[in-house]
Amino acid sequence: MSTLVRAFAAAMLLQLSLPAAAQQQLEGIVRDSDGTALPGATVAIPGTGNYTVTAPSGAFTLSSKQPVPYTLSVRLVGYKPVQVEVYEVTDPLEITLHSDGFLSEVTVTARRRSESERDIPIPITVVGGVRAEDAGAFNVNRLKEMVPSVQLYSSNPRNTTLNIRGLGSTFGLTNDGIDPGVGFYVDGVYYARPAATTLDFIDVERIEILRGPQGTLFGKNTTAGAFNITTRKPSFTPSGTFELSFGNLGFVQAKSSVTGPLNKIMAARFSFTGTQRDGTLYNVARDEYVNDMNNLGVRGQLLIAPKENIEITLAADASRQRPNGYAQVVAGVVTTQRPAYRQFNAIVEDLNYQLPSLDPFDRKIDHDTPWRSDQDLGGVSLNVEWQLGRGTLTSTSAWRYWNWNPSNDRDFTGLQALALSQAPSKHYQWSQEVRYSGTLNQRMNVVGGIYLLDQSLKTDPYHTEESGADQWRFSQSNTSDLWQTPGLLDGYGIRTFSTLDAFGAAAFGQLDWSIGEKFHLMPGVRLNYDRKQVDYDRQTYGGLDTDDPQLIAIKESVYSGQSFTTDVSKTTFSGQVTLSFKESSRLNAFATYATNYKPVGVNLGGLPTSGGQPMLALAEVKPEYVQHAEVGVKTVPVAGATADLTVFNTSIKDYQTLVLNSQLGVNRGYLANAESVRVTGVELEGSWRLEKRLDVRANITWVDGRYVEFKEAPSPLEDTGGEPFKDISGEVLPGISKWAGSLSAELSSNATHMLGLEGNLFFAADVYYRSSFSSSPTPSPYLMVDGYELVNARAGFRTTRGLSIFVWTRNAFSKNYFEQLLVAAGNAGHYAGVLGDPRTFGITSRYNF
Amino acid sequence: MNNANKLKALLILGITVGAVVSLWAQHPGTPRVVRITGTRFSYPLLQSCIDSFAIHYPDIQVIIEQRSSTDPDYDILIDGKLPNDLKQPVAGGPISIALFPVLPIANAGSSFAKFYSQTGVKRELISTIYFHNPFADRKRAVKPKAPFTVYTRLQAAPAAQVFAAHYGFKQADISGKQVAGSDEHQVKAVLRDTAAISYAPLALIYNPTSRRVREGLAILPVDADDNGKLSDQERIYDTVDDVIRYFEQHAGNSASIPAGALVLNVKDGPVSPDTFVFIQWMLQHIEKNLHDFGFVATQTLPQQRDSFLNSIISLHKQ
Repeated sequence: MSTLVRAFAAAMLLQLSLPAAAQQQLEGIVRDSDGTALPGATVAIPGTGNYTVTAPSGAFTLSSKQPVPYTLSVRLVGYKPVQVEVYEVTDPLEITLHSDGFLSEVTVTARRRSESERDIPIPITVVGGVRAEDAGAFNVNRLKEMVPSVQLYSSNPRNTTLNIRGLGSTFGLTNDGIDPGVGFYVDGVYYARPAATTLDFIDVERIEILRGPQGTLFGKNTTAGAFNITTRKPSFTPSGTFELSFGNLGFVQAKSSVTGPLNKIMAARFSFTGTQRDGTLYNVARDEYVNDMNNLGVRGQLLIAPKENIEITLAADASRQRPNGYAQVVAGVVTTQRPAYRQFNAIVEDLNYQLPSLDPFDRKIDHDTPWRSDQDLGGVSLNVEWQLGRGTLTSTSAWRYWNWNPSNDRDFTGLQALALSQAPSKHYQWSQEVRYSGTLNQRMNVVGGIYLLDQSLKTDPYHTEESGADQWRFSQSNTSDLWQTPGLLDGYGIRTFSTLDAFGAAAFGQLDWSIGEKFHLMPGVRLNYDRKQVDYDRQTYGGLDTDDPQLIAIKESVYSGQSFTTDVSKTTFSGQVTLSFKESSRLNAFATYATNYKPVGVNLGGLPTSGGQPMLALAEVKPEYVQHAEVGVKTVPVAGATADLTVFNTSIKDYQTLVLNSQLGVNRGYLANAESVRVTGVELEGSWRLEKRLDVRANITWVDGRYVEFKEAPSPLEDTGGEPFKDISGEVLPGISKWAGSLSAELSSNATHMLGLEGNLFFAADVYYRSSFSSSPTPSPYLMVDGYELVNARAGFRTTRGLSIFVWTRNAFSKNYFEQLLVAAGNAGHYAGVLGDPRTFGITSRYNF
Repeated sequence: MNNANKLKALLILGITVGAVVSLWAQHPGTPRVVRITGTRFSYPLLQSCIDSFAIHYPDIQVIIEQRSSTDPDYDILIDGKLPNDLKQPVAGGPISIALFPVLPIANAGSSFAKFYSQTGVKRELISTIYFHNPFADRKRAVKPKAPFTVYTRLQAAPAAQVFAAHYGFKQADISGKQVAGSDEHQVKAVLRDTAAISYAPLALIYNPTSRRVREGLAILPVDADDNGKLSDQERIYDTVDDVIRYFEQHAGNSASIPAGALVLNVKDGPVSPDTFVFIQWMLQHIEKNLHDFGFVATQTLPQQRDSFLNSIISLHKQ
């Protein structure tokens, strides 16, 4: 708590010290054509980052040093945007917005230019920052409940999988040697490590989730889709937000954001977020609650606008997580095909051990190894936007770091089996993107760019897997008494020193060609080069120091040294074409065919051995070749409502997947290519605004993901001890619920006054449902996560300027559910679960000025 | 009215004026100021009247107070009205002193101007491109042949109201970018955007010296006789005098050129003798300046002027 409070106070002091230069006040009021005041409209001076939002009375005040004439943009969802050319200001401006008949004016930059979400032929979901904040969706894991096409599985930050439509990354434990298939972008900067998806959002303006391959628009790794996050920009209008939340489980969250001018051409924004919460699992052995939250994040941005047509943004951010957490609880035990003495229950009985509870939802563990998931992630970026000719030239340079320092108890018990499982790592990346987006002529728009990404990932100083005193019983593969040799495996382990140097380059472009009045043809291409170099050196240590060949053989059957280097590179060419038919603002239909490659991968968790030698042929993981087709339609069935339908089919050749292996030496898994998979789905997304007071949003997805051909898949947990491989062609892919959906509704009052403040009373509720899904790369009836539904709600008083206060609850009915199930190391038969949070509730106060 | 009656009326009016002036004799040393405000595109016209007036009445200072969306302190208000607003005269109400035609314009460099300055813009096209009309029949909408961006006034403005009303809309129905400022600023905005189209009164479209369209602007010819065709006789835009001549020749049946009435009004309450003198002088002399500044003579009858002046006096007496 003290850390959070200190950090929050420091952030506030820093932010309050921002000088506020004297400004000219531009005042006005925004109404609809009936004269009704419109709160929440965004009034901005484009290109300056200077904006404000209208109060419940529709009034706004915007400070500006901009010399006249300048343009004022006024936007509100459901209304046609208005641009005002300001030449002279003598009186408050009275601005009228006309209803557009549908909720169209959600502006997105997914196609690297600002345009209406309704106009782009891409299935896209946009979640505004305020909406996400109000819903308590302060990270991707929580946001997924608002966007059913998104899946996130995280057994710790490094082992995080962000998928869209079930595709993106390998399911389960992460292998650092491959790239994610869902590009995670923040202000145009690609975040290479999936751990970034576990961080708290910092001052987010909006989140665009693009579904399907986007390789001709984005620089890196978007074979399954893209998370395009835009943070709030520095503004020349001084404003700020301070938010403080308290909840059960000791939840405290503080956020702040302050922006303002530094001088005529420079503005700055400082943002802070800090979250603390007590743990949700009780460790009976260590007498402590684990799986807590302890997160801090800061972001600073400096906007320099030396000329009307140039905007430079220098940004730096740093996030720190120190959770005592990401512990998993034993969720069940499977009888494998191994001999009876190798079954989990027999092993623990021999070791005179009992789990603290057989019901995972008792939320009790007795893990003897402390859990730790410390990570620091941050970086700096320089973004230059230059209005050049009929378009914008954008340069984005970035350098980022990730320091990862974990500690896990991967046997999930109070036994000293897998005593240490730690993979501390340091990662650095720099990237450079240069992109031009503009108009060639009246009928052609173009986006094109080049992208470079260099990454270095190394162990810090090494990864450790170490056996404890009880490991012999888990590893015992025959009935020889030699396994019981005192101290044979106690302290015996491996240290891995590895480096991964990766370089990627891409040239990409897309043309938007207007054919006639209603048709658009959008061809795009992508040329991609990737190179990965690995130096892997794994050494054994510890255990009984012996010359006995039989004992040495036992030790080496558990862990063995391994060294290899590999250098792989691939150049790929892909493309896409979209044909859209925009009959009117009420109908936008499109069809897309795209190909794409996910970069070549390398095995960075060790290779399986054959005859005691690493199988070097498995070091390289072939690129995934993605063929994607979809048809969609965005419609306005009735005034104030939208309904969008997308049908898609994605086929992937050489699907990169994790192969679980009972050898501890490959860290329970290695990467391989499944011959082919296919994901087919239908998505229906709609919204409805009724009388400006009721907003309803609904999403339903049906997805069927299957291995088309995977003949040598690893056997499921229950078949351990039997055939090592299994033909799972036709079986379902992991992590995909056939059905998922969300329904959100918000009811708000007319402008009302409370405590002298003007605002709206509101009540909102969200329901999220997903059906059961496989939580194992090879389907297992034991590793099926049951479907579940969650209800979140909030109610309170909200202003756009001043104090807002509301109460909230998440998982209101305290639904017990698993987010993921994982097989424990060594395939003894037990598996663990990542538990979803229990019911939480609290109160949030927010002050805007 | 025969000559005898005219003479009688003028005599009565003269006596009345003399009486009023004597009643409102000024204290020595008190500044004799008349404040006039109103729609800005009339200021050059007003200034010319003021300059002429000053020659004859050097002791009375007439000042133009710039008007915004709220009125400054004034004695005389010059405003623009829709012609229909004057059909029911109100005692002491405004009197029309001129007409101001409003024409669609474009940036001369725009492809829109290049195409439509030749073909003209008919009522259907104007309705489609200038106005927000949720009830429009989309199938019958006329598709423009060139890209364009409409510029209009943000604040209530007579020229905008006249233009919109002529085509059956209100100012708020005009779509496009809105200009916070004056009509002059609206024209400036058109000059800055090579896709811009808009509308403006003649006074702002033509150069008062050269009598030709201001550099950078192009007029979009309208179907002046509303017969669905644009004939050579309707190509009347070479000089401002051609437009005025056409308008005055077709007075009463030139329904398809938007035009508003420039009206004079006084503030509520007592009217100063100097104000009265200036109004009287202006009503008698303004007509000869109208064409110079792009205005068209109104059909106001002498009796209406007399009635208006009498109503001012009666207001004072109350």
